[in-house]
Amino acid sequence: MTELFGPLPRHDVASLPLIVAALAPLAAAAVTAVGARWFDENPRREGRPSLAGIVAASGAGIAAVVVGAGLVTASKSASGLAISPGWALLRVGSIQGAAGFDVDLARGVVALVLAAVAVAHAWRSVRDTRSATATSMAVATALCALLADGLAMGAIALGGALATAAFAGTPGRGVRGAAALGLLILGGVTLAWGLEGRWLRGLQGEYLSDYGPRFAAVRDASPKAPRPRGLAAAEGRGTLTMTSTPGADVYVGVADDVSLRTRRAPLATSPFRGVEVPAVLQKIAIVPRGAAVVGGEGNEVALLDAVDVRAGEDVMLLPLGATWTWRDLDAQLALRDGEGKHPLRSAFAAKRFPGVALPTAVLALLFAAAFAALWDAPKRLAEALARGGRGEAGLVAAALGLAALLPAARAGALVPLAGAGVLVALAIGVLIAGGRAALPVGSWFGPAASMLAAGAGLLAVAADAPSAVAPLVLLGAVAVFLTASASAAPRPVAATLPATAEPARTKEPRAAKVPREPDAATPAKPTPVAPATTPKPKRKKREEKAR
Amino acid sequence: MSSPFAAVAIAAALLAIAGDATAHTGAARSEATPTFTTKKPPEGPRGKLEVRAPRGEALRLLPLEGALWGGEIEIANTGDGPLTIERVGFLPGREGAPRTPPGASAVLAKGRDLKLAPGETKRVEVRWRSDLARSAELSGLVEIQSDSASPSASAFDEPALVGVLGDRRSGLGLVLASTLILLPLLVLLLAAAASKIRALGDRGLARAATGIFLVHAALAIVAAAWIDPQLTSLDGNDGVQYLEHVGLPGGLRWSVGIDGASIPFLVATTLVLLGASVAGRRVRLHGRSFFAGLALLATSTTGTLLALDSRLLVAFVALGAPAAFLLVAASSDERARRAGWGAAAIVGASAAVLGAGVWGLAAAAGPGVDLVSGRADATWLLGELARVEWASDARRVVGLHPAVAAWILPIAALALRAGLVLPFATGRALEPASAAAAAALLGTSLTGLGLVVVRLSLGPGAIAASSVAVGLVPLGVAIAVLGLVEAWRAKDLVRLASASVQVQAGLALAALATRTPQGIGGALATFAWHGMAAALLVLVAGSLRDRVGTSEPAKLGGLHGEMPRAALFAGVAMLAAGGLPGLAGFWGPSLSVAGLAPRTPLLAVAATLVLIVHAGALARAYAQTFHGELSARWKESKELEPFGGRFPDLRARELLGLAPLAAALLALGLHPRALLAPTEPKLLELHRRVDPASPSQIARHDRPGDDPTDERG
Repeated sequence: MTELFGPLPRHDVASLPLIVAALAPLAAAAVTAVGARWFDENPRREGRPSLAGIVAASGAGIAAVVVGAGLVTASKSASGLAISPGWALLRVGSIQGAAGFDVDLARGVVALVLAAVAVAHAWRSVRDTRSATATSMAVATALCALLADGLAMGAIALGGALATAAFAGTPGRGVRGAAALGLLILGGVTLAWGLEGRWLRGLQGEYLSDYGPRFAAVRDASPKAPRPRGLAAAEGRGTLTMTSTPGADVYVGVADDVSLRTRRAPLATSPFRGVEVPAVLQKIAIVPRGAAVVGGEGNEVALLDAVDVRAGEDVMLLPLGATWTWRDLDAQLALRDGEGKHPLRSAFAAKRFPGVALPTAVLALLFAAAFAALWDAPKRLAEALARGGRGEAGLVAAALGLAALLPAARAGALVPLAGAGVLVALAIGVLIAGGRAALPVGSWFGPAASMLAAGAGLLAVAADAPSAVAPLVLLGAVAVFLTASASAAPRPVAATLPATAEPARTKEPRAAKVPREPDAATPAKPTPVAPATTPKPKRKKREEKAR
Repeated sequence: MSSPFAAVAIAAALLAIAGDATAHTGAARSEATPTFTTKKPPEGPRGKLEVRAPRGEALRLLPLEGALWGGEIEIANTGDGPLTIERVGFLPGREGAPRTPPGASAVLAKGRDLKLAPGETKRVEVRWRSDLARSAELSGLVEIQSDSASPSASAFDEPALVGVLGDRRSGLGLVLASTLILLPLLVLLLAAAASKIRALGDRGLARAATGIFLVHAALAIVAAAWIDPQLTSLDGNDGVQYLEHVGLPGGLRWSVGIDGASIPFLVATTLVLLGASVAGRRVRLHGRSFFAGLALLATSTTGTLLALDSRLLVAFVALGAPAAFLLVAASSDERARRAGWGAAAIVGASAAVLGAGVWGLAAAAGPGVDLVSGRADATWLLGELARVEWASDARRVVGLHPAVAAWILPIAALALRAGLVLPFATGRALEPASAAAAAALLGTSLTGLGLVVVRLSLGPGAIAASSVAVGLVPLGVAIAVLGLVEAWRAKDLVRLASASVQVQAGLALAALATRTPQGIGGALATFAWHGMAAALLVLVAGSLRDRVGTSEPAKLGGLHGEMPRAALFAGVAMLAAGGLPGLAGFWGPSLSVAGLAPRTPLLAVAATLVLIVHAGALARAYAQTFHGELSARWKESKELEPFGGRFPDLRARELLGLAPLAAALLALGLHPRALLAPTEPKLLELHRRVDPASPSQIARHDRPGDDPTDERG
């Protein structure tokens, strides 16, 4: 194969695992959901934050600390990106999904702002467990969407955001959410198979692999000087780096895969940076484990012959072909050959399926997924406003917008290869979807503004400015927040809130607790029930209005 | 799919596909029965080889020193002429798949004199350097080739085969597989004793059963933790670990073991059974019958997953019949009893179809080897069946070529089980008792036979894979569409869960037939895990029935406020069943779509549409049940009178059964490789067997008339 060269991305590893930024609020949501009854039966004094609010604020606070630490690392990193490799979600054939995260300056700031807003909202405004759970879920999915470094985690973020929107609003339109996820999966599958081969007969199939290697040893630039010879040159040390395919073992000096059957220790296990090796022509074997197929001949072991390691230079082991990790996609499409051309990028752009350029097809599917996810979002968010208040509505808007749009935005490397017309058409479609909700004034304005911001985000991707998506979506969320605040929407309506929230607000006597269910064979005696607190007429009116 | 006719129609369609399938053409030969020579034995005195190992028993190796294990086989010449030993050694396997782990050897003791005078005895020393092997067990066959012949025979005797077994594990590891299968039978014993032991009682039985199923689930997790995920068939023993081979009366064998592919099934099955046993504590009047049925079902399903002998496998599947009867009929009304008989008959029929398949395959393969006694009258071991090279004129199995039958009959058995038992269970799941029963039957409906389908179709059926796949992929999608229609029509949460299982089963079959690693992996994940989501949903539905006697979404509504815990668990179940990313139910369908995409992109799109609409049906049911306004009618209803007009939420005791399932769905959604990693070596091996010698995942287009053997390079 043609020798490939960089520029190579030099990322630093975040000092704290970024996954904690998503897991901490998720854990808070689980605590408040499971312990709903306990939290609502133990209200705090007026003026103090509720216990559920404290739990939600703690989750978001931990997330903020983790994101902050990531931002510090990113600001020092040469590439401006801090990575946090997680674990392999699946590794089957050539399809690999990893639970990895990364953060750059733009996304980090947005994440930090979101987490801070969530902390403030949870501390000041959250009074019941439903609200606390919705807040925590929204923060978890928004941060997951922002920090996910691949399509697998992006899909998980979108699923979480749709579930959060359903939880905060009114579910029942599951088909659209499922359509969004289905289109995202189809987009991912098309991307993975498209990077590795091509369909000879379009939608009828007949897939043909590229027979290409799945890994390459790459240097920053093609060395013009010939390789130094002699003893002195051989005594030098170069380094190896690999930050993709977490868990893959790398062996040096392996002639064939048979010799790997003996029990020998690997040189290093991915991810690693700057591991020293003798500066000679090296034979390297990469064993990703699992059912990964990484060789052109269907092998699960990648053998790299004659890797030119030179003294003082770093060689990076990069995955080629199918990948769902955005930075790996960016890196491989940016690789150059000796003439300065981009062979992998050209090859990918030349593929067609079904009848259109493959990058266009992939982006169209990802945009269609965003479109489906956001189609009825205005209505959902308006319902969230009516039911849960402005804080949750804003956070849910952010989560949904980010999770829907960021997969398309992170696939920004494909944008220059796709037909601009298709992208613009799709972005206009989302703008129309947002615009249709803008006609009724009032609490609809905020959600509509959010969707318009999302549409603008799509246009930003089309205009090759994917880093603008996160701030734009956040602006939309702020619009929701401000609109809700300005329109003085009533607080959550008692009739639509879970009954578990009632005791906290109405201070029902403990005697009203639901009795234990009797055995099926011996029905329990009727238990006297305390009279329910009758809402005041004014409040009733407000409830009806909100409803 | 919900009617018997639908399942029969599917079976008939499968058989119709089989008619078009092209079978492998080649020499009819089973590797398991090597022939010594074609020469005739000399006239006059002849040597006669006799192996003086205990007859019918394998040689069990014992530790000698360090990592060296050993044992001896005594051979004697009982003939009246000299006997020449031609070869002594372990029986080899197929290229790339040795029967025996490395480090094993067998040599004649006392030098290299290969002649035995009449009456002379010699010893064959069997040694195993276990430190050279990845596998902790050794199972193999020592082959002794000689010129042995009976006085009046016109041909030499077949080489003698002696089974050799070794195991360097200790403690629980020695009996882990058997314990997993047999432990639930303790519940059966307790259920039988409950009528005699007053102190035990129904309540005590329920508690004891829950405890035993808790231990059962813990053992499955221990197995998942202990198993070596990197061990493959290249390491010998067909890649199976925790092997146990014991002779039973009548020439039967207790051959069980755990391989990587069975791990996700094992964990999911035990969690489903635990959940059902906790829910079964509400069964008061016929608790003994219920727990006896649950115990039999547990043994049946676990045994189906771990059996290595095809006769044992069929026996375990058949054990599901009395289990189904006891579970479904665990109620006082006559209708339930009739349904119980029906369910038992259908599971029995499913076992009969599978039995016809494996018996036919074993007979068509001819004499085989037995890891205990050396030889068998037919090839009963599943690993050996996969080694058989079928001839085009091989003996037919139910009118089908054996390689085609290896696909069709297990799938027909699965269709019968999944397509007929469920309506019986769900159609009458009107009482609390049968919700627990339905959860158990539904949750395990795909696990046992699902793995059998994968093992047989990609094992003995490997050479017919491409020709069968031509029809099976669209058929799988069609089954999914039928299930989808049922899901939209379902008026009850339990029926919805069963329809969801059918949708996923159809997609899994289609994915399996693609023969891509992703498709096979998707099928494995779906078969293994979808039952957990379905069982969780059924258990929540059972809790609703407990309270108000119905689990029909149209009659409920607004329960989120009343029962937030139930809403949470039902949400997890429905989202997992609908394939929400982040939950275990996502990986199977998404891998299936990924597997379908290269070979049949249009069907991948169709499968995605099916998944979308399926998720929509689940979301609609959830919204109807838990959102909206609570009907005022309920507040005054008689059912809620004991609870003060409110729906009581799930109690701690109910949570005990639901929480492990929900936690597993969430944990496996975020870290699926925790249980899928052990399946991966097996998955790659199966993929290579059915789609070998091609660059990675090449989805070569199979043109009509192509000889599938061409693919084998």
